[in-house]
Amino acid sequence: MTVTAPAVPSTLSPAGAAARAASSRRTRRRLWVVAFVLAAALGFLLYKALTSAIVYFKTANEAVAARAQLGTSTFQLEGVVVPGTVQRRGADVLDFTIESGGVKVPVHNSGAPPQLFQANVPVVLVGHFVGSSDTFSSDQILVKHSNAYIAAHPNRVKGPTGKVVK
Amino acid sequence: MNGYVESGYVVGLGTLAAYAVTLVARERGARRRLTPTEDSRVDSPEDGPAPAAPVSDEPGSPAAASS
Amino acid sequence: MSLVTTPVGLDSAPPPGAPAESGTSTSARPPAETGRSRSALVLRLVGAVALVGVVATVWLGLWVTPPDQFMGNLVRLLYLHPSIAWVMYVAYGVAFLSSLLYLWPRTRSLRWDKLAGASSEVGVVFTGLTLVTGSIWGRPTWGAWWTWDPLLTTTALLFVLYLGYLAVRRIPGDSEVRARRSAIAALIAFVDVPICYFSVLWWRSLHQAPSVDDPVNGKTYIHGSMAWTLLLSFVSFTLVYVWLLVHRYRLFGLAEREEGEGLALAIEERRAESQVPSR
Repeated sequence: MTVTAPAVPSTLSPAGAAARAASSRRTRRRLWVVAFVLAAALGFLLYKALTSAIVYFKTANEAVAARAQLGTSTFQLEGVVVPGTVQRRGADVLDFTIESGGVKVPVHNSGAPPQLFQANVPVVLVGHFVGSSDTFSSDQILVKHSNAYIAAHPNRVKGPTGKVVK
Repeated sequence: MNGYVESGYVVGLGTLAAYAVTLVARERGARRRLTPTEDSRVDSPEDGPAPAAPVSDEPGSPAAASS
Repeated sequence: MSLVTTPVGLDSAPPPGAPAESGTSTSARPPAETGRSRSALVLRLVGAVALVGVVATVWLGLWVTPPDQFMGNLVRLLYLHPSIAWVMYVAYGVAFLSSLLYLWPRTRSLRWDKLAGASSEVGVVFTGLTLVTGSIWGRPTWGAWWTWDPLLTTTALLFVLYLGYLAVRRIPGDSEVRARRSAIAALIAFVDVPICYFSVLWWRSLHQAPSVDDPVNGKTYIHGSMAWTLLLSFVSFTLVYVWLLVHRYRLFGLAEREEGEGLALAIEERRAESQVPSR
């Protein structure tokens, strides 16, 4: 059956053949539309993969080392929030310092920080250096969290040995 | 508790349940369309369809209960 | 008549280790009947266990497990999102292997083609859910619904690639030609799967590495009951996948039979027509 299938439509009644031809034209047109949309999406994602995703961020020390060529272009900067440096300047304005590889970068951020933003966590900032200074102006903070999951109230759960962990 | 968590579960499990329901419904539809033609075939005794046992779908499917 | 109906039954024998087809047997053929009802029973059992597992996961995940010390209650999406992503990888792996088995001349069978098609479709559903649940988790924890991080980008790419695969399956043609074309498309799409999985290790990423059996140092970083719930979640969603896969596979078989019957009808019609002028 599977082998003879394509040959059969030609032997059918003219009306049926015409209807089938029309429906196959419709199918073909729809497939072309789908192919176009998918190709466009594929192209866009490949572009994003090769431009944004391949080097998703620069660490603070790398960014400072490449300070001159970065100018005031927008990029993602990564580092750990240095404890004791977080200062609220306004409703959604924050100043803090991040550190990576022993290099510190002062940050001026506008825009609401995510609820998990806090000292000692690694963050990725979207923004640019200000003028010719080493201050980074960001408008988005992304909190990088680790892959460790630890109970917040360990005394409520049993540890691996069955004993209640304090 | 937290709107994000609940909506995550609702979207995740809801979509899977909906997908499961469509699969079962399509299967039922296909069987319904197939059975009468099988019964109408009287000219071929060798594959002559003894009135096919009603093909039931899975009543205890995740789709049935989780939706 | 028999010319048409015999090949229809050709593909309905249960494939080895693959989902069994049902509905073709009658009471006249007892062995087939018992075989069918046994596989139907197994499938029902899988469905029931999957359902119980998912309900238990939700109960443990939302009420029993403790909040995380860093994420608080947001950690509860841990019992949903990673398992869905895991099933996505499994589904594409199955599609890849069955496409290979189709292309390999000694194992060539349209059953592998159907299995690949079924697994990819389920995989696309799970990829969509991976993206959506990840986005819902990312907004409160990272602070963004979306970012062009390597893992996120390659996952979106997977979604589009496998949608493309499903589109390729629909290009009309002889079923063997279609199966070969689809199998090649499945192999091409699969290239992105390892890239996606290892992207968090190969490149800088916002997304964390896997917590279970971290490929970098082989440790598991999850606290007691959270780890067990995560394990249960993985098992349950894998069973959900199996249930969906078998149902989708059977649908392919039914569609094939319908096509066959439509053909039989058309031939009969044609015969009737040809008799008119001869009279």
